[in-house]
Amino acid sequence: MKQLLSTVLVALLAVGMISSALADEAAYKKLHAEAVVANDKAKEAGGEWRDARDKKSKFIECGDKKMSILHAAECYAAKGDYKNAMKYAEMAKSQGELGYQQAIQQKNAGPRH
Amino acid sequence: MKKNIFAILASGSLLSITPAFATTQAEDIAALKAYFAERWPNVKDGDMSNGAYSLSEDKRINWESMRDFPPYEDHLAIGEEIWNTSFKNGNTWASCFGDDPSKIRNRFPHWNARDKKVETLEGNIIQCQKANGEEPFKAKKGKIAYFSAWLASQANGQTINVVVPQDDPDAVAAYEAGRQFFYAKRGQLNLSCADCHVYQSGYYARGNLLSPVRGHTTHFPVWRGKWARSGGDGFGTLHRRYGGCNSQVRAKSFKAHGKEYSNLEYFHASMSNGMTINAPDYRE
Repeated sequence: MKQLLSTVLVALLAVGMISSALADEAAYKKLHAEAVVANDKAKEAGGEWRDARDKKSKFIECGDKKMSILHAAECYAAKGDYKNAMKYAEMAKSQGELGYQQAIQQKNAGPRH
Repeated sequence: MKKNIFAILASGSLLSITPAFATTQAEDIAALKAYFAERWPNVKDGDMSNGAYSLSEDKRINWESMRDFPPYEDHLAIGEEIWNTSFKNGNTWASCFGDDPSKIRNRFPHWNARDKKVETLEGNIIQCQKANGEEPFKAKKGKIAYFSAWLASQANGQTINVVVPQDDPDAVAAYEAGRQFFYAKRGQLNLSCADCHVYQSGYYARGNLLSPVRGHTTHFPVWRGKWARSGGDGFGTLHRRYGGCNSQVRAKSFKAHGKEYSNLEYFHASMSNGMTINAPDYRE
């Protein structure tokens, strides 16, 4: 009876862990997609920022390499570290949104001297 | 009455979205000259083509000593060699630019009314190579900078006069796009070209004394100590500098000789109208 109970508990725990990991992965993928859309929008407005997703950027470290924020999100996701993957995907999304806002606000920029 | 109030409010809101920069090229130049004349009454307008060295005696001494033995002379010799080398098809650079190398630099940037775009010297060098079946130079440094610098050196002493045809709305729009680019804050640091090179010119950003925009383009391509230290030979074009500046404020840079930087060059070079070409030159 005890053996059956512990087997059931282990199985439940495993199912819980797997479903939690799947949920993290899904949340990360959603954030990643939103970050791409936000940065596409910023690019279209001419206001993309340097470190959001540029291949030449060396802003965030993942393993022994430095890369853009979105690339770092992908790097951490590939390692299964969804906590950091989501953190950087959120950061990249935020940079895209701010870059877009900035470009719109500066649309009529001109001299003030 | 209600209608009148609405009309007044509507006209007010229209005014607020009218670009603050609805001025002509001549007005922009006059305004900049007046701004700098008031800010530095002891600095002659023409001396601003020497950049930050017109504003600091210490920096000027270092710069003058560098110019005693210019680090770029060998590259100028390569530039001249390029001019004298025919393409594989037998054509020469003269087939694109005319026979007299001293009459090339000062024609750029200019408005191409047929193609409705700003043409830059380096952009046209690449275009000429492609038209003659040659492998084009890299866009921002290396041979394109040596060649462009040699062409500029042949035009030294000539007065810059970038023309924006006021009767061509596309040309005016390109100029205004360049001006908007110059004054627009960008990147994570939220800084515009003007923040450094108009409003804060003469102040230090870390160890660098910020130069005034007037006179910026007279001496390009430049040989920069920073570029030499980063593993290159020091030479770079104006669009290389644009990319570097954008990157420093953490904005994504644009393609060299693309629309954005070509329009920016159109405005930027205009702001040096009336000054003389003095290229290439050394910068920190």
